[in-house]
Amino acid sequence: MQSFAAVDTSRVSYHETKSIDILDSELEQWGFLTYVAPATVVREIRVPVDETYAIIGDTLVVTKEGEEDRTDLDSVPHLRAFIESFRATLSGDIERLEEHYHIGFSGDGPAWTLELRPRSRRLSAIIDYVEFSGEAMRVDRIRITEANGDWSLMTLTPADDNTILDDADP
Amino acid sequence: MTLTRSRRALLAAAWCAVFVAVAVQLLTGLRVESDLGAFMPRARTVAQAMLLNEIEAGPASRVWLLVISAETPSLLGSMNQRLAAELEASGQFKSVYSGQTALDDETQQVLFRYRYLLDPDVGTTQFSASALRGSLEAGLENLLSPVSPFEKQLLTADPTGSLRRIIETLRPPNQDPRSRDGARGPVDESQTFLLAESVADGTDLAAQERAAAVIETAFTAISTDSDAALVVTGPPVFAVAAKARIEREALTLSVGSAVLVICILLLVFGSVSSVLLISVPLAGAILIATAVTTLIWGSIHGISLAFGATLLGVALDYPVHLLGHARPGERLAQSVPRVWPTLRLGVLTTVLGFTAMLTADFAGIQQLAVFSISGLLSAALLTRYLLVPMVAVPIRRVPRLRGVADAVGRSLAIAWWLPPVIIIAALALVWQAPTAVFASRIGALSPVPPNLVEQDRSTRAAMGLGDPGYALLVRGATVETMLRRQEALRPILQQAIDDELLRGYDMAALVLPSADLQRTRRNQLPDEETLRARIDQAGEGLPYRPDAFRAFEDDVAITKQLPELNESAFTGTLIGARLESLIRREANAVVGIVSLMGLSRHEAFEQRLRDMNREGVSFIDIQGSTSDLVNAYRDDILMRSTLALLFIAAVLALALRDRGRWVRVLLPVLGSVLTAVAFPVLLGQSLNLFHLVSLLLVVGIGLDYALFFSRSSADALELQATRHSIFVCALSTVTVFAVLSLSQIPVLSSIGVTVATGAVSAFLFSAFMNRSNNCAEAKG
Repeated sequence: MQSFAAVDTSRVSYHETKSIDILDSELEQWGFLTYVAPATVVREIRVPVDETYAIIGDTLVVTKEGEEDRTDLDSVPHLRAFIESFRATLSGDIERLEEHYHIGFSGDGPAWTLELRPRSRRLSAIIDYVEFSGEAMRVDRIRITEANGDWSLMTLTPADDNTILDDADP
Repeated sequence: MTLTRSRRALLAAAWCAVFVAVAVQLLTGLRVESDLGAFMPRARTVAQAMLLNEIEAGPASRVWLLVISAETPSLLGSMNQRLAAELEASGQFKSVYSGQTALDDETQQVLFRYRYLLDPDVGTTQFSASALRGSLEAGLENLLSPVSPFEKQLLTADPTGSLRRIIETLRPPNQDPRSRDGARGPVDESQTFLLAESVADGTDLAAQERAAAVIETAFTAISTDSDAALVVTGPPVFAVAAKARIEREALTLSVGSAVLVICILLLVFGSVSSVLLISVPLAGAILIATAVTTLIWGSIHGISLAFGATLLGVALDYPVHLLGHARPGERLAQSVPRVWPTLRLGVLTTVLGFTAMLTADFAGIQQLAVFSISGLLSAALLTRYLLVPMVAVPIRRVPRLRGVADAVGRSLAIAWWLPPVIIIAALALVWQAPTAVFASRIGALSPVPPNLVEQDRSTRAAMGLGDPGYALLVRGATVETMLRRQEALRPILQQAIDDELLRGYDMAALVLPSADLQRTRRNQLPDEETLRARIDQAGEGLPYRPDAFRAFEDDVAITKQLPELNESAFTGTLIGARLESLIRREANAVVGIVSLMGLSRHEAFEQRLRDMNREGVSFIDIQGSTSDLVNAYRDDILMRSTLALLFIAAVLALALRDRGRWVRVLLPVLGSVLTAVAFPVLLGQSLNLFHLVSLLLVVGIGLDYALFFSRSSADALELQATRHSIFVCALSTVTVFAVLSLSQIPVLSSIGVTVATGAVSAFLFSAFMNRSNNCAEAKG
């Protein structure tokens, strides 16, 4: 997992299916995920709406219809812990992950699975576990299972618009 | 007055017993107060009372402002959080606002439970089917959010977003929601702010010192291995700094001046025992004065003690006069008839001066007056009835420095033009700068180092916490009436914001709607069946399950049974503290404060208010009120001083029965007061309260010198002795107060400058007015 730490910038496209108990049907969405080391993660939802969720340092910036809404993560500690499950995984910051989660790792050849169970009672009341799985340096799937049984599954594929952001790229 | 040996021993023993008793009582039970409020004027109007209250014990005086800055801003957020946590854990702070801190859980629960009574939008159409349709569609979109697990529960219980709206309205108006990270403060990435409100009152300096230590330790703990720096400011910092500074300077300055005076006395009287004798009345007077003050008030203020002890320094003059006038071979008792009547008149008139302050408007000055009066009287009585009987052996030597005193007398006779020149210059100076002479800022009385004040000012400005400057007071018989009146003001205030007259405002009604308004909202809530029907209608075609919003339906039904929320629901929470500062109580009214932020054209705003003619609403200019207050207070002290002077003049006329001598006594006194006013002005100081009180001491000193100088005596030896003893008195007084004038603390240095100037000029003018005596003697 430390090998993730070497990655500066990556961009993938994703497809997410969400099952929520108050809804009759599952919710679908797709868009792009971008990670810029060390502390920025951006989710651009393209379908069914155009919205951006960006974690920049300690701030969650939500952009809808050109309007920006900022939330300080320090004010919502369990939200911060939740977000670290992505960010700390992508930046290979095991120490930080350990701070918030019980970590379970299993691998079979190049394929691997990383299971994170929240340490704080407050977060575990909402999130049961987050599971990353992939092969070698690649994350293929992220599954979030909530305490009430709701779940979401995100599958990642290399960005199909071929925009790989890189420091060297203009 | 000659006593036998055994009776003398008895007398000494009795006095010793009294001193020991007083000292023991003081040592065991002495409480020294350090609340500066005792030296602030007492308010005459409610507005002033509130302003002063704010200064004394209000929440503002407990707030520490902390700024963390670092080269690497990325660490600041977590440092801020950790510092806040450390401070909260220390138990010294009842709340820590770290800018990022959200409402505490308890408060959120109250707000959630009462959301449909608190939400300003209830009563609009938010529960109509079409509005609900909008809410449900927005909710569906929110479920797409990656953080939806955290918002889902709220969506089902509060689809119309009432809680979010309430929290939005509760955001303190100084806090710009668009600023960095939603935190307070400017977009400067290299610093972050914290506000910590101490548990202890701002006036409890011992507790504030502990709080300061906690902050320092906590910051050291969290800032290891980083380049972060902490700046701490706010009223408690001032109080602690002022205390430390007063303690430090009072010690060094008093030790320094005591050593110098002892040297002078040793030089003059040539024996340790004389110096000890001279100090007995002073020491006794300080003890007794402290005891009397403590007896009346139950405690003594630190400033009364420090300033009072300084004032009593003049009590040293009494034994000096006595010893200085005793001729070789004479017992002290034999010189008493020549010295005592003059001394007595001097003491009595000085005491008269201080009685004018007895009825002054605030406790601090009253204490000073009682302290000075009881001290001066006991010093005189101790000199007369302890010192005189105790020293039974005849005086052996002539005190030294007589030659110097004679030389000074002679040179004054030659430099006869000097006093008139000084007087004219002083008159010109005071005449020319009448407006700048008196400081109308309360701050000018403050012993706080100016650089700390500047640091605080800039920090507050950076945090958007600057003084509001203006406020509205809304009165009502009950909290409810007051809140309704504030609610009626909202359109005017909103209009003012729209017209860019006003940037923002804060008031209790923003936090807590009146019971009346809550009832109205409650009545507008749909009943259970209506609401369910509307939700079903709104959810048509959307993927929600039929019972998805059961929690919402239940809560609306419960709200219809809820009693109205009142301020007691918030006791002990952040919002409670905010309400406390916004709602004050008078004898038979409740006063709500509407603080006005960024009011640009206050005349225009005031005019609008007047046009609206709202009942119970008044506008106050806070800066204006405080300076009015200080000005009123200065006028009061000036009037009292003038009355005291007139009274003294009358008593002197009665006692002296000699118009010529009356003039020769009064003119030097008035002259020295004038000079003592003018010299600080020349130095660029503006006069403050302590200058004025010091002038009373100048009057006392002037009276003492002038009364002695003006005695007509054919006896050349006696005149020489008088000149000498006044010279010694003036020398020691000027030494003490010149040392004091070196102080960095404005209060102490203003006392020092005033009294030193006054003592020099009193000596000069008295000698000048009575130069016929000097000349007569000098020739002979």
